[in-house]
Amino acid sequence: MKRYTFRIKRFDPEKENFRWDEFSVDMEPMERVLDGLDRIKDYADGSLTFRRSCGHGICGSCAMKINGRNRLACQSLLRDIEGRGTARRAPTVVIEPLEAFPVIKDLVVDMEDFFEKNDLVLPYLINDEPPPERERLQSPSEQEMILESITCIMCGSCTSSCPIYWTDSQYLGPSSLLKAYRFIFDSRDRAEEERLEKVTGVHGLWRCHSIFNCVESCPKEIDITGHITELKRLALKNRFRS
Amino acid sequence: MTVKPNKKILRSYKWHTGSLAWIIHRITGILLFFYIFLHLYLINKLKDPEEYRAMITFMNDPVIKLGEIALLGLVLAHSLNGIRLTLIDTGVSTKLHKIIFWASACTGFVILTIGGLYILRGIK
Repeated sequence: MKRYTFRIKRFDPEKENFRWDEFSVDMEPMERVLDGLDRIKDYADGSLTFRRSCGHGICGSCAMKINGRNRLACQSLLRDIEGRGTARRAPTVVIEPLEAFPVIKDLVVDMEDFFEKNDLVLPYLINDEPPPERERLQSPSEQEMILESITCIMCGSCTSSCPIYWTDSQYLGPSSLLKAYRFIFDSRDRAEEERLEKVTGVHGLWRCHSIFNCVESCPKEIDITGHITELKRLALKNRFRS
Repeated sequence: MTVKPNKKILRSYKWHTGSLAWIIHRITGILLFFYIFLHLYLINKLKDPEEYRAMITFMNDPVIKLGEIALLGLVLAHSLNGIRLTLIDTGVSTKLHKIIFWASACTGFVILTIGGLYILRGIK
């Protein structure tokens, strides 16, 4: 057992102010940040509010800023993220809500805008051709093209870590662009032009400056910048052709 | 609900190689943009031989020479990172971006040192 200090940025919607609260929790280094939050909520302060659901890195609910970087609380072991503790001071875990989204309460943010932008890129299969008797088949190499992008769990870590999104709230954000890639490069989809049209606006694809913050924060380790670059090249080719 | 931008965000969010390269590119870009006006202004002054001679002595000032080294540094940082971004955008692996950054930083420092020595030797 080791003593950890949890420093949590909290927001009170009634008083509309931010404050920092500190909690001391005894935990094993092999436990996760989410376990610490659960323990604080159960034993120290029941008013602490945060989203959590599956606890296994699949639902994407518990994305938050932990020690200055967006991560999933359920996927971060204390051992891996603990700050430098000293003899007098226990290692500190600093937890803040996701950046650039409006805070509703404590660590819960309003992700409405994030999901609206996701809808903008038409995140569903568009194909007018009559469906075959069984499923629409893909070759393994065609599946390989989108394999990495379909692992996205839409936790919002990438979009909220993007410096462009911090300053331009209309920017589509890495998550929507990745979603656009996922359908544009899907061999079964037929709405490439339509989606490229949506994605190449003023606040779209070309706002990406290859900063790589999204790649650093992605809990699924998706090379988001790589996918966006791929999209950029496709958009460029299509413009040259027409 | 509107988003209130967090003014401390640049300090509170962890810096990575990519964001470091981006901020360097921005700052050097803005500085070079303003340098162009200074450059045009000085070039524009070189219309008669008198002015030209005065300018040459002015350019030999050690402080100006140090400024030239700083300019070389800005140009190197901006152009080498520009090459890095072009490499990324043209499809050289995005997984190598950190290696490319640090490799170009080393190349930049070597060129800056050699170039700086040449510039300093020019002082009469």
